[in-house]
Amino acid sequence: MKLKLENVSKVFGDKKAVDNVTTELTSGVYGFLGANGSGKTTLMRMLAAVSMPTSGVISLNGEDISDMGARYRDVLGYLPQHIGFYKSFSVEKFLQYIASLKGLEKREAKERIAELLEMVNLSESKKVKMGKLSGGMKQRVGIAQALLNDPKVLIVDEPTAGLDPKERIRFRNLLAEIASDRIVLLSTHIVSDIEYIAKEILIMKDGRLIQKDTPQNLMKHIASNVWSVDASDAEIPSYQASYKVGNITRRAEGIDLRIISEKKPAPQAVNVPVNLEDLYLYYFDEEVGA
Amino acid sequence: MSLFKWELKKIFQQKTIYIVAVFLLGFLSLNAFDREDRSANREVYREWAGPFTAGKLEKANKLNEELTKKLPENEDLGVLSARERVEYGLGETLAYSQNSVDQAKNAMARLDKRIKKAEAKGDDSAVSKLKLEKQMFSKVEVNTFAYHDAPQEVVDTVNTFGLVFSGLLLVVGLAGIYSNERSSGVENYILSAKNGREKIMRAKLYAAFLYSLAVVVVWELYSLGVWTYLYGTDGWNLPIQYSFKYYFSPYSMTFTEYHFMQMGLHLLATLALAGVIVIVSMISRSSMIALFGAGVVFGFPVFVESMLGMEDGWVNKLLTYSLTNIMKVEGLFMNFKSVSLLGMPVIAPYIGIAVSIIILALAVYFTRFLIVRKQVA
Repeated sequence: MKLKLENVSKVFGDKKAVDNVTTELTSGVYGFLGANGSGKTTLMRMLAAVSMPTSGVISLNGEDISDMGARYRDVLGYLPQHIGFYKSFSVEKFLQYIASLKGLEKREAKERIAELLEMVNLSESKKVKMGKLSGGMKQRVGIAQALLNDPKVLIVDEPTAGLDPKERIRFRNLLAEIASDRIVLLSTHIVSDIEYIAKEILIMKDGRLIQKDTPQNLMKHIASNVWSVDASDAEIPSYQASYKVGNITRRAEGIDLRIISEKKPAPQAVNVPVNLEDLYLYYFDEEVGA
Repeated sequence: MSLFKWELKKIFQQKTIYIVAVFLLGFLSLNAFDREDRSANREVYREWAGPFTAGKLEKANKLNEELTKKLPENEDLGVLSARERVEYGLGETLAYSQNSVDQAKNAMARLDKRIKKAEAKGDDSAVSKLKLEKQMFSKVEVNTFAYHDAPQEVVDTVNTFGLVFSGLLLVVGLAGIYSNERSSGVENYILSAKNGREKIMRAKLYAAFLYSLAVVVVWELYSLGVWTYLYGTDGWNLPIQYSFKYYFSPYSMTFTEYHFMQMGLHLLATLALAGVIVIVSMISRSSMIALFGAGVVFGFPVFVESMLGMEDGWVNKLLTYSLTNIMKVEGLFMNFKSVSLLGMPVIAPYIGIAVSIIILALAVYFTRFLIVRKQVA
């Protein structure tokens, strides 16, 4: 299975939200990493067929998804960034409704709903109205609905928002498990979501796809740019003003700053092994999400 | 459950439709039951029912004279019994009915003159229209008298209570059919699902049409029930000209025939309005905008007519064929109205039917056109 994007752009007024993205995706988990407003969600929406490219083509196995129409949507599972629901529907009814939308037969839907409710740990809450659920529970219903039709292309936009750490690990493992024979696209700004499961990471900035590679290669690429520096309390502001500073770790013997910089930030600085948070900081001058 | 059933469920589980329905039905009931007792009318009219005769008219006038003698100087009818009050007015009622016969004859004579004038001018289109009008008037027979409060009220309910009930319930019930999904965020799931575009569009349209039918059936049954309970079943076979509003109507129909026609047209226009509201809902950014937009679609013709008072202008002529006026129906039948198509006069009810069908077809076409291109905001 091959999902291909060729010169895909999306323009809103005079703003280019996605700028000429070209790439190929095959079975496995792909992590889309980017700051807010980088174009991740817009790209995800185009891949989920709820938005159309202003220019360019998205194709599945060589066929334009806009020509495929319902056939493409039949193999698609989509968890949008913001979970929508009908307040008056119970969890079970809501999933039955989505099952109808996905064209599942009544019996098949019943079995699949029971299975997925078990998987997202909501079997006990199936009769609860959607409006009464907590944010995390709604997110789990969202995950269940995306998986209802056993999709070959699964698109999940910020899927772990609102989940507790245990649920996040459970969800990551689930994605890793099912990704062997399907394409899973996961958009996040929480790097730990994709650190261990992503086959490749796609880094988006200002609507453009600026990097696409395995996590290892991406990290290797900035290996010489991550430093550990011993500093005093008084020196921290000056480092923060001059460099991208990651973790600040207080130890008995002093303070350790993790700094991302192409040049050595201090004589006592030493190179340290890179992680994905460093990668995020390297590309995005913002605070690390988790 | 099929998508159609889900869509129906979503429409019918809206509490506001029941609140609006109960309020309006309550209003109709209050209005109907807060009237003077008309049982004496029914009793007296039944005694006088049947074909007109000069003798009957004379007898009624004599009765009127006798009762007038009983009245005090200020002519206070309070001194008469309920039955006597009805008998007192009978002469006038019969005279009105007799006038209907004369009006039909006079109309024929007037039309003959106008036809001659138009022929002299060489206005073929006008001649065709007038000849058609004359031909229609020649079939009107208004020569029998009967008690007819019930059919008169039932027929009148269509363009008053029925119009408001259908319009409001459609606006309230259908404005959210697409916009609620956008507001709630469920639109994302729907548009990315296999059946989330054309199939669900069909389900929504069918559900909207079935809901519209249910709305019309509810108020019609209620109206028939209330008016039959109050005024009985007499008069349904009388010509519609016995209702004051249709005094000048060239349509030869009994109340029964006309009411069937009325309900058919009302329903057709209601279905077309439902289709238009579905489109408004689809293109609206929020449920409130959809509600407002749907309200404007329904209320605009009434607003223009009542607020701007354009009684004979081209706007008014155009608005005759607005969905709201077609739903009212009476405007198409009260007088002779026609439109020339290729030199042939086409009478207003046919235009009403054609406009409704065209709007309905366009609504379905554009709903499909928009749904395949729909994107999340």
